[in-house]
Amino acid sequence: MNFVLSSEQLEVSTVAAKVLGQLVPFARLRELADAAEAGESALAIDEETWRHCAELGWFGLGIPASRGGVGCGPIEEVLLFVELGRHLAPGPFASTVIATWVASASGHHDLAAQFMDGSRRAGLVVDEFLVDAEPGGLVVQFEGMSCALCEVGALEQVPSVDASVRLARRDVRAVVARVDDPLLAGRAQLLISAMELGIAHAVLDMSVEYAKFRTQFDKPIGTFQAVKHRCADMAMRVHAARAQTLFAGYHVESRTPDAPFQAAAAKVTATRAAKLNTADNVQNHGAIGFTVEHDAGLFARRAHILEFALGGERVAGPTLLEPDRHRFETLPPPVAEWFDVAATR
Amino acid sequence: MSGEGQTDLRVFREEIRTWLEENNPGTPPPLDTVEMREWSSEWQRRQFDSGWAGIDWPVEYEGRGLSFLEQIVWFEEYVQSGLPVGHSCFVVALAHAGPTLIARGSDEQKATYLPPILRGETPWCQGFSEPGSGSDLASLTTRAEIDGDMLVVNGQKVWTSYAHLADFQELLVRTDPAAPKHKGITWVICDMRTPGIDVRPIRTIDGGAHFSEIFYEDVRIPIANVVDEINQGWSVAMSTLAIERGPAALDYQLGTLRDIDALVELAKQRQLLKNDELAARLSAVRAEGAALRSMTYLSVAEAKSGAAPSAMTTAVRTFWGELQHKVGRLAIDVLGSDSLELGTWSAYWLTQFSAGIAGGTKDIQKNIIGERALGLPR
Ligand SMILES: Cc1cc2nc3c(=O)[nH]c(=O)nc-3n(C[C@H](O)[C@H](O)[C@H](O)COP(=O)(O)OP(=O)(O)OC[C@H]3O[C@@H](n4cnc5c(N)ncnc54)[C@H](O)[C@@H]3O)c2cc1C
Repeated sequence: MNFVLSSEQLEVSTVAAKVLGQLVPFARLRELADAAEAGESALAIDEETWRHCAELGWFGLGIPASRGGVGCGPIEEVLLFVELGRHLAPGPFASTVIATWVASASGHHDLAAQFMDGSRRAGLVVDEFLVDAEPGGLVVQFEGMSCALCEVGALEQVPSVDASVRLARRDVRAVVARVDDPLLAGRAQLLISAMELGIAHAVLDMSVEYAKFRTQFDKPIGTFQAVKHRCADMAMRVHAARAQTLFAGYHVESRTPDAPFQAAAAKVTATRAAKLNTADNVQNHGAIGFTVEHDAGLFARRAHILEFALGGERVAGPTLLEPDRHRFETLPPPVAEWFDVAATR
Repeated sequence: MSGEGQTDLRVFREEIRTWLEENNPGTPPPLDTVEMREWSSEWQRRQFDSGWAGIDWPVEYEGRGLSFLEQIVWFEEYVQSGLPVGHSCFVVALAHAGPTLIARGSDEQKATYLPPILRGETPWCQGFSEPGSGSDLASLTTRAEIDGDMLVVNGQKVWTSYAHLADFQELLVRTDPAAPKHKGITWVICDMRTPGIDVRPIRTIDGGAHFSEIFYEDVRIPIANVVDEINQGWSVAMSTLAIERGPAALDYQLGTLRDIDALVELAKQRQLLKNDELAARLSAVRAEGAALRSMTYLSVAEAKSGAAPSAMTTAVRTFWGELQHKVGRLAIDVLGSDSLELGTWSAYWLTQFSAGIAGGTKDIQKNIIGERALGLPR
């Protein structure tokens, strides 16, 4: 379905995939995680890599050019975050991007500039935890329609299911900036959905490749319908999450009344895709998939963290159940345009 | 031409809404009986007379010649209006017989068969499946022998939806038994009133009788009715199935979203959203309903842009089938023991069992996804 994306948009994916493959290959991810487990580093990602990402404009991608950003929209953000998810990029990417929005929209332009140039990061409040928070740093906290940027108090680290994600007990102090915007939570959900989509897609590719290569009973295991159908299920989930995340991106971009519903639907669809696909992927690999050396576990663990980011399905649920009915009448203009372009025949 | 923000499309939507309000037939369609045909014909004719039939069909065949976007807006408003979706014996004619002819028929066939479909005169049915050939459709054995400029057909079809109400049939026959199985099949237009055709309705699990078995004894069909060439029928059938498994069912799919809305409403009335498990399942089907629509719009846009149909189009249909299974089961759980009484939702639950079978079973669809979209070995 790439035809609906412009070549400039696709370029975001291509560049991100290339850069992430070089900067944080899985071997590097494992080094960073080991350093954290050994208590050698408080950071999820090294400064140099982070600055490099900042230079590429990733933290100001969706900030208007007039305010020092790159001037792209939710679709480009989604495309970037799909790659961040697929590469399991360590570090507070989503929360820093959200923090940039909040700082910028609330007039804290110096702070926004620091996020954009890579000299500052922000972690995320997830219920009773702080994810990838840093000593003396800032965290992003959602409360209903409002999103605040808060100072971190004492940082008491706890072991994390995913060692490449830093987890600490929640201790949040003064609010530094706040924005009330019903669309902000939706736009933030899309970043998480995009990462989950990237994960769901990566493990689909991993399973398909393995199913073609691994032989048992003198046949590739992909010939067995149990495996083939599991892969087909994985592909369907990816297809659904991808369509919904993009579609919701167009709604958020066009600020349609339906945008919060569509974004919540993206979060639920992508969360399910990531959690079910990462589990199926372990199964498709047999015992090797159960080992720490294998990457299957890295994906399952990261999917688990993301499932709860921004409240997960429990928070998305009420938004989905609230309206009396699905709304059809607001087709976002870009979607209407595809049909137009397509319809000239 | 127009984004939703621009006035002409909004005006178009308003026009449809007003028209549907003023022309709503009022009575629900009688199911499966000859009265159903009258109801469907009359309703189709009324749409045609006001310019709402074949919105994206070519003008030369009496369609409106508009884009698929306008067609979608029609489907959306139709579903939104609460009119029954899918209870029409024109479904085959409109959803895939017509589009197959548009794609593969001769000019004469198009001129002969397309306008009467839009005018509500000729329901169609699909004679593909046979007792021995379901998933393995290409093994079909209904035989057609060439006799001058006629085909003479003998054999049997089964599960043919609305055969008892249809005037024409998309019929697959074997014209060359010696050729490899995919190479000896012909797709022919069969007039259901031809002598030698015996249609016997079969009752279904949900109390209906919308499909039939059909026996053919020396049924004579003009060779001029062959679509494309003799022995090229498999490729024509693949066009039919691509349409049937693709955008054809958009109104039905949107209908599933409406069913989900009704179920959420019911759960709210029964104060069941307090139940975490039910609330989670309901929000999941709502999310999947939204995703279904997004997937469909993407694949429709893709198909209309001329991109090669992707095997993932099949995924949309399979995803939809599984969604219907979930909605059916969820309805039972929302109703609890009230579902013991045969009513709308218990009938819905019974009907959804077909969602993983009709149009190709979900197992076959997953084989297709695995082999064609993912490239897994056979
Ligand atoms: C409501 C309804 C309406 C229908 N309307 C029409 C119609 O209008 N016209 C028409 O031509 N047909 C129609 N059909 C028939 C439909 O296309 C067939 O039922 C379908 O293709 C399956 O064929 P079968 O019923 O013979 O099942 P089988 O092919 O016998 O399948 C039985 C079981 O075996 C599984 N199976 C078979 N082969 C494989 C395989 N290779 N891998 C994995 N599993 C496999 C199937 O998934 C299924 O679970 C209709 C069916 C229904 C339920």
